[in-house]
This record gives sequence, structure tokens and C-alpha cells, in this order.
Amino acid sequence: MSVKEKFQKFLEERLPVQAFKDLSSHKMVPEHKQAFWYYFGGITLFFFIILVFTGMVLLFQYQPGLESSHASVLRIVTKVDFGWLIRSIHSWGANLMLAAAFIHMFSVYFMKAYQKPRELTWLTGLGLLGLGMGLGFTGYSLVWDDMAFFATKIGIDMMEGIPGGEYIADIIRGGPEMGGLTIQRMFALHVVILPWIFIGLLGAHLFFLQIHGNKIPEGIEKSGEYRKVPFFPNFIFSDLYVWLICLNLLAVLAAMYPWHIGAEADPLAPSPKGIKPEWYFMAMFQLLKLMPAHVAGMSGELFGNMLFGAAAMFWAAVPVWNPAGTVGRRAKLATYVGLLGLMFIIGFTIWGYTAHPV
Amino acid sequence: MTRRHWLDWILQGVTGLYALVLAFPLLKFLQSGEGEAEEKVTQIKIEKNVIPDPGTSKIFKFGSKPGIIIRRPDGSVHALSATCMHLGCTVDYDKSEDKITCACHGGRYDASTGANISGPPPAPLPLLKLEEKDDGFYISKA
Amino acid sequence: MNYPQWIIEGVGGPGIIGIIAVSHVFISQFAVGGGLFLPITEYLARRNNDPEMLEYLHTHTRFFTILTSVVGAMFGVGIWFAIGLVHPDATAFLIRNFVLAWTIEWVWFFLEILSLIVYYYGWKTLSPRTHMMVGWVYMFTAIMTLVTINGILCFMLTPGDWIQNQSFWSAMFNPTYWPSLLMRFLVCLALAGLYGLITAARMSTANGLRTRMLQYSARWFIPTFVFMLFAMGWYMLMLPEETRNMLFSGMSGFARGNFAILTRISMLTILFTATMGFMIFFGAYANPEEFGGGKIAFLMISALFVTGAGEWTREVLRKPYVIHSVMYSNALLAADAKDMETAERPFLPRIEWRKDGESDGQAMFRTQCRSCHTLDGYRPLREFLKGRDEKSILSLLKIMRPGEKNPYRNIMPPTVGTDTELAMLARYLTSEVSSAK
Repeated sequence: MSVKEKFQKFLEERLPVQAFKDLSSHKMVPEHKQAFWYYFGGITLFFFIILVFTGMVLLFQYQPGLESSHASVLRIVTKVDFGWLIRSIHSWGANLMLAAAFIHMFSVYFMKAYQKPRELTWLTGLGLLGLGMGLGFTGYSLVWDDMAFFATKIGIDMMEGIPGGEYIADIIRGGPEMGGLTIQRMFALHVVILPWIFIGLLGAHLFFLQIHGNKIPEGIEKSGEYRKVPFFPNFIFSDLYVWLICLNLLAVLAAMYPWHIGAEADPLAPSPKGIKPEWYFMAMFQLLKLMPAHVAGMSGELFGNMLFGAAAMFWAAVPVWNPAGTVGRRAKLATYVGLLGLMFIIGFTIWGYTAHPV
Repeated sequence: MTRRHWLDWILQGVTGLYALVLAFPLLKFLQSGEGEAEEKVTQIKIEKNVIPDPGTSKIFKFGSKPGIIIRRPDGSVHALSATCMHLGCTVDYDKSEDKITCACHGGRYDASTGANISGPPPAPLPLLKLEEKDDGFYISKA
Repeated sequence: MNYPQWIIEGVGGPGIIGIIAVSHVFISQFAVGGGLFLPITEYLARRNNDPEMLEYLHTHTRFFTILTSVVGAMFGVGIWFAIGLVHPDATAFLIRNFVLAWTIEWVWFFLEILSLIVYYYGWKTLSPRTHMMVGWVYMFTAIMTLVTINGILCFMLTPGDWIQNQSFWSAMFNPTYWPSLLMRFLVCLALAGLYGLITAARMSTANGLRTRMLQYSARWFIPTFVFMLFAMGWYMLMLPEETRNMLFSGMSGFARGNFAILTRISMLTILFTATMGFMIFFGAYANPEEFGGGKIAFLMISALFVTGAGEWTREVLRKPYVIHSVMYSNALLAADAKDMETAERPFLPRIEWRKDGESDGQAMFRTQCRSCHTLDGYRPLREFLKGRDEKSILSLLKIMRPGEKNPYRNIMPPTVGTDTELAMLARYLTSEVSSAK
């Protein structure tokens, strides 16, 4: 008996290996003309794994602190061997993960994969997207350059506009003004608190997916124009193939367009010209800018936030107002709302960028 | 071994080699540290009043590592590296014995030459070059 | 300096050469790889008496013939046009020194195309034995075209002993000749397999031919995957030490516009070789049923990228020369520059050809800067010199004169000319910079 066989025997005697093998050999995944969109969940997961890995490695060189945050990032990108590369992979990976997550969300929405029995998968997915944006926000601030400083400041100030938000803002800031404790708390959120919640939710999300399987869009299911392919090896190998493409894409972006670092944050300096948030906050940022000082007796900020909050709640509640089995006009309504949401996000993002040239 | 076996074996080996080459940046990244100050320091100055009397000593910073300057009871002044040759603890001058001793494992060195006298140290303490001038002691690498 | 020169804004002259040359390499190395792929596959099919595999090969040959003999050859001629117009001096130099090699190359190429045409059109009419023979002739001549051209390409980076003895054979079999030949040969095999996948994916699934041919073509990538790393290592060892060190200059620091990019591109080359190996394994070999259009497209894009990256690395390693240690990238001869280290010599009289109405400053600019720089596109001078006045541009130009003190000597050719001439160039550059939008 070879070493490999011995090891397999060792495992089989202690773990239900055969049960797992049966499970994976019987698992089938639908394949049809829209199956392309299934890849995006996996892509998001791939970038998340990359982020966890590069993030852990960056902890070996990054030093949080008012004096050291910016200095250590500067040291990473200029002095540390391949520091620019690891940091670029982390930054680019974060942006690509969020992009993939958005595409994943919209494709799931338009396939109506949120309907019974998949409501929990939908909600955990939205939670993951929110956490992902939170990770983006906290991670961005850790560089502590001028852009990051003001973007963080604006972000936290915005929270103050919500009732009870001052309390949260004070906790995050560690006082009335941004300072060393802000970095410390952002750091704690970014590397421990949010990732742990993220991993927990991710586990639930994947568990639900495993129970319910991939949703076949109704039209395709009715017409029968689909086939089932084995999860192993067909689907998993295709997924690996796509992951390799993503790895190449990420490597090219990180190597050819290393991530920028600005001058060290100076609370007394005027905000840098053309200041704008990361692209995934752009639509929200642009919407809030449109708000007049006062709307209906409350501050424009508050109104904008409430508007956005209400829209998000409405979006999350789509399984309630468009449950499985709805047909005709009402079923189409959800699609129109989705298109409207998509157009709003794309439109306002483009508008935001044209209004804030670099 | 069949031909097929050999091929699998080679392919796995080469895959490992690719992994190694691609892990090279990661290993270099983790290995990168600070440690530049050490090279830059070539000479430091110590005021005379730091060791005014015979039997006094002072541990000072030489680059990133400690050094020790000693005025022995006979009045002679010596400067040595203060990192124990055994496991890198910082040594001290023991006035009563007129020896350099290490508290960690009881190593002892001669206070002038740095020669290892007893205990675990495998080698003598390196001497630093000492120049006495009117305004102080100038210490540099030997 | 002696011939008319084609000036291109935007991507720049070298950019045009690069685009055409990479396209040519991507197809012509496939042609060489196909030189092995076609007869070897035919041999295997005939030995195993496998009419389906022969049918596959026939389909593949049609695709192959059209792509390599028409498109590949067109790009090849395109390179001649482009280099002759963009860099006439270097082209003239290569023609003068390699007349014999170009002639040999042309003969092989002619035989290659001839045998390919006979091979394709004789598919049904020739006897199997004769057809096989034609195939082997094609294989031999195709490989010989690579064997010949490889010497000239490598010579430009590592002229080796030629600098002392001026011998044709030293020039051909220069230090990087063998590792480069191995690398290119491996790329040829990989490309043969990759294009083989394209035809295979279009085969019928009915009798398992598609799966069989996908797996067969995928195996053609194995030698490349196994030996490429070693070939790259060998190549690196044969480079002159200062050139090799440039490859490691980008480990730390992310500044743009220096050699750091070289480190990044060469790392990407290794990554892509590895990932393409896995893509072919997971895509075509282990999961042939799901292998289709999109996956092929990404595989081909990766292959095109890595071809471009490899050629680009070789070209940049040569900086600041077009022919290493002999001719700078702006056609200035290294020997002339050496001569000018000690004595100031006028440069304008050396410019044999003038554009209509060209001022002296503009002529200096065209002959000394334009080979690499554009005004607003690739390596844009308007951007690089922004904010500098005439005095500071002039002092920069003077710093770049030949000699050990020139801090740019490993990146850019030195500036040459008298003080007055450099002042004319500075004035011209200032006027261009200030007229920026």
C-alpha cells in the first residue's frame, strides 16, 4: 500500500469520506444559455480568498497609528521587496471583489433567485455586500493619505446625520475628532471584526446555496432548454478555469497599474481638489450632493440618507413583494424596478465621475 | 514505473517549481525588514563625565546594538560590544569582580580584552575601537 | 540620420512596429509549431489507421494554411515596411550584416510556403506516402526559418564576439542564440496545441472525436510547461550581468517609467505560462465537454499577451541600444558617441535628409528624440518636460551628453551636438512644451 492509500484509509476510518464523495458525485448544476452569470458568485469568493491571504501578509509590514500608518504604507510600496505588488493585489482585489459582488447581486435579482425557498440566501448575500463595502471603507482609511482622511471624515460625518448616528460616529472615531484612535478602531474593524462576521455570513450563504442549488430562470425551466452537468468535475473545473482568468486579470492590473498613495493626511490642510469616494460609494455620494439644505423640515442629509435607507429596505424585501408564483404585470414589475435600480447606480456613478474630474 | 507515471511525476515537480518561483515575491516580502540603521552608524562620541570614576561603566547604543564602555579600577578605559556571544543577552560590568558578566547564563569575560573566561560563551566579546580625545571618547568599529 | 524617417504620434513608431511584430510572431510561431503538429499528427493517424483523426487534421490544415500563409506572411512583410520607415538606419545595418542570413531565410520561407500549399491541395490527390513526405519537408523548412531568424533577433540584444571579430557566424550564434531558440521552439509547440484546440472544439461530439482531439491538442502544451522555466533561466544566465540586474531592479518601489516595469512583465510571463498550463488542463484536458468559445477566447488572449510580454521584455532589456553596444536606439553609433565624450563635434551636418521646412532644432529633435518619444502619446515629451523653462531643458540636455557622468546613460541614448546645437533643440522643445493644450 502506498503512502497515499494509507493516508486515504486513515481518513476513511475516521471521517465520513464516502458520504462526501457521494454528495459531490451526485450534485448536479444546471447548464443553459444564462449559466454564465453563475460564475460571479464564485469569482467574488475567489477575490475574497485573495484578500484574506494578502491582508494577512500585509499585517507583517503595516503598522497602524497616527505616526506610522502612512509611513508604513509608504515603506511597503517603496522599500519592502514586492511590497508594491502585495499592496496592489490587495487594493485591486478589493475593487474587483466588489465589482463581482454587484454583478452577482443583479444577476441573482434578474433571475429571481431570491424567491422562495432562497430568501435567506438573498438576505445573507446582501449582508455580505454591505460588509464588503464596510471592509472597503475601513481598509481605505488605513492608508491615511489625504484622500483617505477626507473620505473617511465625510463617511463618518454622514453617519452623524442619521438619528442615533452620532453615537456610532463617536465610537468609530474614538472622540469628537479623527485621530490615532480612529485608525486603531478602523484597523480593528477591518482586520478582525468585519472579517469574522463576513466569514460567518459567508458560511451560511454557501450552506444555503448547497441546500437549494442554483436557480434556473423560470422561462428556461419551462422551455426545458437546459441540461444538468455534474458538479464534479465539470462545474468545479469550469469554475477553476474562470478563477485562473481572474488571477491573470488581477496580476496584470496589480503589476501594470500599481495602486496610488497620496501625501500624508494633514487635518489642517484644505481638502484635496477633486475629492471623491471610491466608485462603489459614488452613486450614494452624488445623490446626497443633490439634496438641498432642508427638505420637509429636516436636514437634506438626513432626508437623503432616509431615502437611500428606504430604497435599500425595499430592495432587500423583494422576496416579500414579488414572491414566487406571481405572474403577469406584477412579476414584470420586479424586473422594471431592478432595471431602474441598475440605471440609477450606473447613471449616478457616471454623473459623479464627470462632476469630479481627477 | 510506467511512462505515464514518470510524466505525472515530472508534471507535479514542475508545478511545484512554478509555485516556488511565484512564491518568491511573497517570501521576499515577508523577509523584508527595517535594520538599516546598523550599517549607517560608524562612529559615536561619549562624554567623559559618563564614566568619571574607576570601576564605573555605561551601556550605550551603537547602531541598533548595545556597546559597553568601562573605566577599570586601574584607570584604563575599554569599549566592547555588549551582546553576549552565547545567546545574545546584554552583558554588564561587575565592579566587585572587575569582569564583564552575563546575567542570563552566567558567562564571564575579561573586562579589557573581552576574552571569554568561564561559562557558556563560545567566543570573546568583540572590541570596539576607542579614541580618547580632549572632548570625549570616540568609539568606532574595530 | 541618413534616410527619411516616418514620424508617428500617439502610439509612436516603436508602438507600430510592436503591434505588427507581435501579431506576426503570434502567427508565424504557430506556423513553425504547425510544422511539427501537422506531419506528426498525420503520422500518428496513419499509423493507428484513424480516418476520423485525419478528417480533423484536414479541417485543421485548411484553417492553418489560410491563417499562416496569408495573414502571417502579410504581417511579416508589414514588419519590413514598418522598420524600414521608422528606423531606417538600424534596418540598413541589419541588412548589410546579415545579407547571407536573409537570403537563407528567404529560401526556407519560400520552400515552407510551397510545401504547405502542396500539402493542403494535395490532401486528397497525393498518395499517403508522398503526402507524408511533403509534410516532413514542411516541418523541416518551417523549423529552419526559425533557426535562421532567431540568430538575427538575438544578435540585436547580445552581439557577443561580433563586436571584436565582425564575423557573420559569431553574430548568428551569439550568446543568447541557443536558449532563445529553445524558448521560441517551446512557444511554437504551445501555439500549435492552442490552435489545435480551436479546430478540435469545432469537431462533432458524436463519436467522441471532439474529446479525443481536445485532449490530444492539450498534450502539446506539456513540453512548454515542463521546460519553459528552465529555458528562461538559461536565457537569463546568458545575458550580460548588467542587463540581468535590470530584471531585478523592480523588486521594491513602484515608480513608473523606469526598469521596474521589466521585473513586473517578466513575472507576469512566468505566471501566465503556469496559469495557461492549468487552464488547458482544467479546461480542455480534464473537462473537455464544457470547453467552448469563451474559454478558448481567454486562452488565446492570454497567449497573445504572454507573446507580447516576452517580446517586449527582450526589446526593453536592450535599452538604450537598438543593437546592443553598437547602435543607440536613435541610430547614433556607440563608437561616435564615445568619440564625442572627449571632443565636441557638430551633429547637424550628419543629418543627411531633411524634411521640408524643418528647422535645425526640429531636425535635432527628429533624429535624437523621436525614435522613442512622442509629443503627447507614448513616452510623451510634453508631459515629461511640463513646467520646465528653456534654461532647465538645456541643462537637462547637457547632463545627458556622452560619458560616465550622464545619469541617464543606461536608459537613454546620450545627447550629441555642440552647445549651439543643443540650445536650438532646447528652444524647439520649449516651444513645443509651451504650445501644449
